[in-house]
Amino acid sequence: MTITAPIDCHSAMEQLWDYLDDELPPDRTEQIHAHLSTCTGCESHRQFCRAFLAQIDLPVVSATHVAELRDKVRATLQRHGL
Amino acid sequence: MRTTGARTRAAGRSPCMVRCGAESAPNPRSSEGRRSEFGRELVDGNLSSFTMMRPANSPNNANSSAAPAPDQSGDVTTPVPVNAAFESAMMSCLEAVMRYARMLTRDFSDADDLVQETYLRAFRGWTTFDMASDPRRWLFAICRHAFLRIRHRELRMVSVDEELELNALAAVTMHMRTVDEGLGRVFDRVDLGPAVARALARLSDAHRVIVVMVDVDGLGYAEAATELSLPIGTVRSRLFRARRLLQQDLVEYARDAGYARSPLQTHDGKAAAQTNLGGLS
Repeated sequence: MTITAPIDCHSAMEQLWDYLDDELPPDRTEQIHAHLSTCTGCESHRQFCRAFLAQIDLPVVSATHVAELRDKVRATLQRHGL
Repeated sequence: MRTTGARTRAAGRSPCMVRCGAESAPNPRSSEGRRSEFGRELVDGNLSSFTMMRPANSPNNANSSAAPAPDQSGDVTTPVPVNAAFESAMMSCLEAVMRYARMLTRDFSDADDLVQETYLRAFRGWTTFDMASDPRRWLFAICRHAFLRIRHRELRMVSVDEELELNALAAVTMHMRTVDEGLGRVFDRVDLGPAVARALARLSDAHRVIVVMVDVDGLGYAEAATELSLPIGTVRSRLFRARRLLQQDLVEYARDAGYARSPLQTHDGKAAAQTNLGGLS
């Protein structure tokens, strides 16, 4: 069993985005995971950031505009041999 | 242990849902007369410079020839309908590519030009497409590369501030304020889709592109750095700054939309500091 050295809130929060993006080495990930499991404040911030990332998505476009562009794309491709 | 990431979230997105073959009247608003500089660069520099992205012996190549192929007995067999395969695999993703292009360019006309360029490149490189792979991701990559080719120079400009600025702790401070205002769970409880699109459009190209690459495409920091020819530290600091700006923008939107309750007041009228992140110093 590996014993991970504890880290403080400052260190954990400095690396939170890297943690959420899976950019940290396993031992560092484990340290932050251990910290979050015992620190309600930092865990609250992790949840906040996680929910924020889930909001980032592609913008909505209208069905009419999609149909119009599809026609234009088809016409372009047909000129090139489709 | 890697169970936390945005990478997983991006890779797990559902495939595009638009049915191919939807017909409509021709677009009366031709974009030719209003083509922007971005669009002209795409058209002027495009197509002839397209190079195949994978070797010609890709698994898809067996189906790619338009000419009839002889079978083992020497007879000529019916050619596989290349166009129908392209239509089936690629056109169904058009809405997703369109949304992706809008996120990259911020401009509807530029986005339409970019989509057309993407599909033309995809058609010309169709023989290199691996049918076992995700067509949406393939098209996104083509779209992104076409966009980056035009904007590469400005995206590569690095300011000293960007190299130095890491915004993780600033984001914590902002979160503490949102908790005080009763907005600590706003991202869980409110669909901010339109506000997200507006907030993304307010970012600079340099910051928005990295959000798209990491948070939508699911690229790693190193992959994004390679595509942009930037140091990984710059990618990281731009990403964190972009996210902080987005968070600020969305929180302001939620506040203006009335999702916040009044800040907690102490008996002397000052805002109470609910610093449950008290370990930070």
